[in-house]
Amino acid sequence: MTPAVAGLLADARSLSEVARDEASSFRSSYGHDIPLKHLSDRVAMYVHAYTLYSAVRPFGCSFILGSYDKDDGPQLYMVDPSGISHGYWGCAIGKAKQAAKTEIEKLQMKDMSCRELVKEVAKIIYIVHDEVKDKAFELELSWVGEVTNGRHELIPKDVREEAEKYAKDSLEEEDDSDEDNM
Amino acid sequence: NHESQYKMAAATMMPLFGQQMSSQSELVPDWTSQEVSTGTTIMAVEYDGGVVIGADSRTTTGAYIANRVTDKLTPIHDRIFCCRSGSAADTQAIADVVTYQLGFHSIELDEPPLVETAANLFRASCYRYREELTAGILVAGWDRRKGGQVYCVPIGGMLVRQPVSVGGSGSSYIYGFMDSNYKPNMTKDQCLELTAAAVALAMERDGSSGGVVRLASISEDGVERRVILGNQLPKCSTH
Repeated sequence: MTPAVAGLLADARSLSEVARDEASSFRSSYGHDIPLKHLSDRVAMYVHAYTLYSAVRPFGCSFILGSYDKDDGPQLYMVDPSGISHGYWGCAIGKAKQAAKTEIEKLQMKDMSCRELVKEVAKIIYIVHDEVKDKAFELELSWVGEVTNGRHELIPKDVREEAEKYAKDSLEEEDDSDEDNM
Repeated sequence: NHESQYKMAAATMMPLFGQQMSSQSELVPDWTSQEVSTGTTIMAVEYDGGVVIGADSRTTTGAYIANRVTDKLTPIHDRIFCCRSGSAADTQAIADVVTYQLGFHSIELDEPPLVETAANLFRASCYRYREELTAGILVAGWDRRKGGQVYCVPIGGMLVRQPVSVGGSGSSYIYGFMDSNYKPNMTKDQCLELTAAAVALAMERDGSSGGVVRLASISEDGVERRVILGNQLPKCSTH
């Protein structure tokens, strides 16, 4: 199980701990791993609670949860600060989420393998990065799927380098093609 | 204080919890002080696509048969049953608690519960309150992930999955029968025959087991229940 977060990092760390406790408590009570939808619902309910009372402020972060198991297949859920939770085929959070969502919608995810998607994801991160306004960034990639037997792992160095190279090359191509268009 | 209680109990030969010894006056019949027990023979068998469960139907208070047509096969959820042995009150109470917990859990998840989950809920109660309870339970059912499963939760609150399991006071008499006659990959009908024969044999020998044989088979398609009456029981011996 994998959380990816965007927003206030302190809030995100606190929420990760909540998710861990929920998953652990479920496993302890019921004897099997928590289904991702249920974990997402529980985290969302927790986040929503902080929107009800004036004594606290809402969480300043969005939360993406991903998992893979052989019975349910790949699953992707997102929780936002309002406490809404949905399942997704693809989603984006953070400053450039609108631009990223547009790029994601162009992808034919169902026909692509995990390795191909890694490259596309890296490319999208590079595309939406604003050279002028944003600071330099470091790309972090991790995956969970059949390729990792359901465990969340950092993407191996060779796959990551292939993805970064693909991303940077695609950007240059687009720059070139911009010049050709009058 | 706790330690001195133990010492007192040992000195007077009286158990701390559960039944009191019949050291009462002759004015009161001894069965009034004896707990209602599902003496019992229970059995559960896995097959490819489901499970078969079986039980006798005798409930005793001492030597008196309080109920000769008991139903010891208790539904916990649509495709999950439990077979109860030990104290009738304890097992009914635990089954009610687990039925509630599992129903709630299933609604939260918005999908049918796993047999493993039900078994873990039984184990949680039976282990936590092991000093106060006398309950030997077989949890059996069908779910989408692992198909037919049988889980054994004996007195003390252990949990183990087994392809075939027997329980209750009558089970002692049929371990040999089960070990020699159970083979993996049996069909549903073979399992039903095996269970009926085993429970009937136990009922023949165990004083706390008797009445009718109740059977149920659980699969993806649902639950089928049947009863084998006294005169229809498989006759295994000539005496």
